[in-house]
Amino acid sequence: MSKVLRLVIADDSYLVREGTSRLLEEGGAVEVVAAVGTAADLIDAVNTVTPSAVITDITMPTTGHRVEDRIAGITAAHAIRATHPDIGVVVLSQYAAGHYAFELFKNGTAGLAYLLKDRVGDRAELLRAIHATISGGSVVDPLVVDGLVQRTAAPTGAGLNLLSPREIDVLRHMAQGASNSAIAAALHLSESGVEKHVGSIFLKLDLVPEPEMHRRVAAVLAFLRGLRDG
Amino acid sequence: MLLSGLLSAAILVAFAIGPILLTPEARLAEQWWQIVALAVLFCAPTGVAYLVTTRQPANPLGWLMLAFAGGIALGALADAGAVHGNARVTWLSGFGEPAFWFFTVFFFVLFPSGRLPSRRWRPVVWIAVVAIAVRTLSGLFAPGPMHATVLDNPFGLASLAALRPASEIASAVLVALSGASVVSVVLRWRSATGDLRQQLNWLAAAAVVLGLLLPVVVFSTSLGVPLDVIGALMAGLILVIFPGAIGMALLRHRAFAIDLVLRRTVVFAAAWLVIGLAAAGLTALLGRSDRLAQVGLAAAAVAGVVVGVAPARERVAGTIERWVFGSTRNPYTVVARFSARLNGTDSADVAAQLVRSVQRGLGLRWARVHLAGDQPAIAGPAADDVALAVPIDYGGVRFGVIDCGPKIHGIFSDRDAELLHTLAGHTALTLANARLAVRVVQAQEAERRRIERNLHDGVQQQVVALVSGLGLALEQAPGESDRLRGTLGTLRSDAVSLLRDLRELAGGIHPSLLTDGGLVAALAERCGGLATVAVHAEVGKARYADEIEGAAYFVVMEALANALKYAGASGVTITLRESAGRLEIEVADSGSGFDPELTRLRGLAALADRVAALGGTFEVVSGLGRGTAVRARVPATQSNGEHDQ
Repeated sequence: MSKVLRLVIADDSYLVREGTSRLLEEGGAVEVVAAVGTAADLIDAVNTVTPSAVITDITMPTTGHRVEDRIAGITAAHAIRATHPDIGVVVLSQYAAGHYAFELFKNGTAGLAYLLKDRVGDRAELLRAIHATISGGSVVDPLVVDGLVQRTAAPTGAGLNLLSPREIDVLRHMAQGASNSAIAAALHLSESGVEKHVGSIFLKLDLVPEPEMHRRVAAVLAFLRGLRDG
Repeated sequence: MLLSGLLSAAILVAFAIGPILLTPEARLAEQWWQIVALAVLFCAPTGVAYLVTTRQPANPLGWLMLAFAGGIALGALADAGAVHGNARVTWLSGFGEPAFWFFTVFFFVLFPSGRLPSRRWRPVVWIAVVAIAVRTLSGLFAPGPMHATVLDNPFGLASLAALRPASEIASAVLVALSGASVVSVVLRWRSATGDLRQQLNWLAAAAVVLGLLLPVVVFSTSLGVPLDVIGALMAGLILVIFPGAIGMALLRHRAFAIDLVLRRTVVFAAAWLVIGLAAAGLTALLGRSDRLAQVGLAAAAVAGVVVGVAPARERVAGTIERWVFGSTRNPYTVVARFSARLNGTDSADVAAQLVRSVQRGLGLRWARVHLAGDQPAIAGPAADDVALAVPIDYGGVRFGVIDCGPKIHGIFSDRDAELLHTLAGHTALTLANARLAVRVVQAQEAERRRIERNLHDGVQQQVVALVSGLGLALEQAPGESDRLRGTLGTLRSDAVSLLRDLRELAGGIHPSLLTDGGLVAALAERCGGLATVAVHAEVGKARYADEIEGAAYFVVMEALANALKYAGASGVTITLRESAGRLEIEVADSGSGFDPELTRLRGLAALADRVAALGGTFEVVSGLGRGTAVRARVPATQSNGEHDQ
């Protein structure tokens, strides 16, 4: 990390905002350039300071009033990605239900992460998610993905029913932003074995050859869609 | 029309002139009043026959009556002939015979439409035609005395002497058929509804009036009034009352509330009978026959009936009313039945029940009940002619209005208005109760959401801050201090566990997904991880009102928990479907089941109350070894789109 990461943090709880800021700034690799408490202030801050990434609470007042919008953070994330495609957005949430993750990824997964607030104590994990979004990747909290996969024993639609259980495991890890080597370690496979599974997944999902990162995102998207519709 | 006019005129002339011409001059002065009375009395049937034949020429009843009047007129000629000893004139009256019989046999069968009630009557028609033919031929051509006279038939043929006994049989047959005809009209009257009922009511009224006269006759004879005077009076009344009733039935039956008149008449008739019988009974008992005593006894009987047995009279009236009118129109009964039907209905059903009760209970052409926010419920052909509008109010709140069309008969009485206000009051109270119950559930639902929000915004956020603080401490701990790092790491994962438990707790109080994603999404999320649970949702992405979704969700949760915890179910099926405006929820398991008689359903009982408060139904079907099915039906009230965040 040669360059200092410029972050905007949005959370309506002062304690959480301060705690997260101090944790991330520890060590000097990250600079929190703005910490705000509403969705409107978040958009303003992004437009003013142009950060590298944003960490936002999912539920916030839209403006200064005490009227909360449960998915104000998701709406703000969509707005930010639409106007600043290079800014990564990590949404922190108290809701483990897949419904909210689908809402975040409904227009595409690139540059977006959905993490549970459980992760705010783990600096390394937060940073990993931030970097993944900045580079156009996507991350879904493992707990959320587990819930989704458990819930749908056999995902249907969009070619997902053609996938073998092993390939679904691989796809699940891809959804969490894991690299091939990380997947190999997690599933006790060789890295070449993972590559073979990934290739097979792309084939079965009928994804045209294009840069690997885009195809991974598309596969994850198909995976999530399959879960939602199935 | 011309034909009818000429015939009617001829008949009237026959009645008026015939007896005058044919009565011996010496007796004219003595009998003049009989002649006048006869002519006047026969104006009634003849006039009615004229009116019916001119206004409804296609209806055979008018012509039948005209023929009947003609037959009677010929009969009068026969009497005159007998007085003068003129056999030929008397013989002419034989042509009146078929008219008379056709009328007595067929009039009641054909009344009021002029058509046979069913094809089963056809053989009767043929039998009657043959019998009448035999009677007529016998009257015209059988030898011997004619009719009730001593005059021999001038055209009698000895070869046709056999007609006489045949004629006796034919008479018996015709009398029996006439009786059957009257029985048929009584049976039809008992089962008739609508216009037919009203038309038949006129006949019934006439019959009742005549029945009413019977005790008068009994009473009068016992008072010494000569029998022939009474007989003439009765005959006269019959000749006026029946044709009058028939004319009203055929021509003006919509104009008067005959059912009302009839009802009161029947009640009075019953009272009269009681009085008459009492008087006769007392007379016989005391063996007194002087008039003064009889009048006194009768007066005593009247007083006794009026004062002593007023409640009995009420009961007699009620019984008669039920017998006469089948279903009762007693306002208390209407209200009681309506209240009984109201139990466990939602507002749309309430309107439907009310509109039916109002229309039937008051005999309205149409009625309309419009409850605020609902489609109006209508009974009958609704029009703009609102005769009476009654608001449905309770506690200063207007729930709607009852619009009444005109009554089918008569005008609104005070009793009708009272009944309407009572029904409106009941309805308003029911709706207010239902609304209150729903509000209680809504408040409960809102309270749960508020607690969930407070947990989320308050303690959960503080634990999140604690987690991040512990994370920071872990970062700040010197690299070589493994013990400190270990302790901090444990604390951090404990705090994360606490956070997850809190999330579960908040979700158990009220899952945020229920508000954001709806019933199906929340159930799928909750049950998704359970391999033995299958969710069949046939309601798609439909969204219902908060309190409906809340109740449905927690019914499923409670039933599911019971199935998994106590029943040891190997499979649970959750089914959601919507039908006839109701959301049906079923949780069926293949577990051990229980005896519903012996087991108290603590959690489910509370939910049953909640469902009932929303106007829904709740049942638990179970038996040892047969699994358990929990079913709830709640109104499928659609969400207004603004789910309270």
